[in-house]
Amino acid sequence: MKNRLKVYRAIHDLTQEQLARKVDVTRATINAIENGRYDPSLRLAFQIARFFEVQIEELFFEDLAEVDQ
Amino acid sequence: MEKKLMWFFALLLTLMIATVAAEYFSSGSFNLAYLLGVMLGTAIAWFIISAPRKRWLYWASMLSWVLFYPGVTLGFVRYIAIRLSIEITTAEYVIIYLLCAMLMFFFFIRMRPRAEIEAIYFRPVTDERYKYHFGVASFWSFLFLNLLMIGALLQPWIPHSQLGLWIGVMIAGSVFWIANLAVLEKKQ
Repeated sequence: MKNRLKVYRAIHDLTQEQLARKVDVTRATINAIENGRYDPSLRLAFQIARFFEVQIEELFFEDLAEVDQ
Repeated sequence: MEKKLMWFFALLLTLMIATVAAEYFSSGSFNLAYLLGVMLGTAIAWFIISAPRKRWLYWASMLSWVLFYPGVTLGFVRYIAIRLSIEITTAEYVIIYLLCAMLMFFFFIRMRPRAEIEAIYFRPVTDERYKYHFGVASFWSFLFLNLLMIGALLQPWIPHSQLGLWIGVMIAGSVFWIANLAVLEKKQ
């Protein structure tokens, strides 16, 4: 799964630590999500989308090339 | 609360295994009172660190660190000194304690102006990713521990009544669990 978390974080001028506090996870988790090392749970994904006031699919989306393989 | 309890039990288990192993390999027996002391101490320390989010508790725990951490260091120094047959006088122990206490004190004074440290200090450090890591690491460690136990039962060299064999199995299991957690944390 891919995401635009880094882009939205930059738009809102937030550090990883600040975003982590807003959604009650650790900074390491935000870092892992941004770098594609960890796929968040639906609950956390919705929480992040709600925080940025966007639809969840705007933030998280499937990598079609990966799906085809 | 669930997050804190998870960390508490992980820490408690690790300290208990370390205590049992250290006692067995240094004196050849266990002291139940010592083990209970470690459990009680860990519980109190955990309460001070992570119970309610109050400022005075933060400072109470800092003070505890300054007062008690040098004691732990002294124990370690004493253990090394006994192992190496080095004589250390009471005055020297007092000096080591005071130096350690001063070091801790200056360390916390230096950290004090950073307000965010308090916030980080009281933040739960377990989230869904950590729980996932705990689960995965525990699953593999459970398999590994069972394999080790079967190996220990089948091996012909050390008698099964030898406590050291089972303590070794326990240590290998917990080291594997911790290493697993560390690798998962780095990779995922």
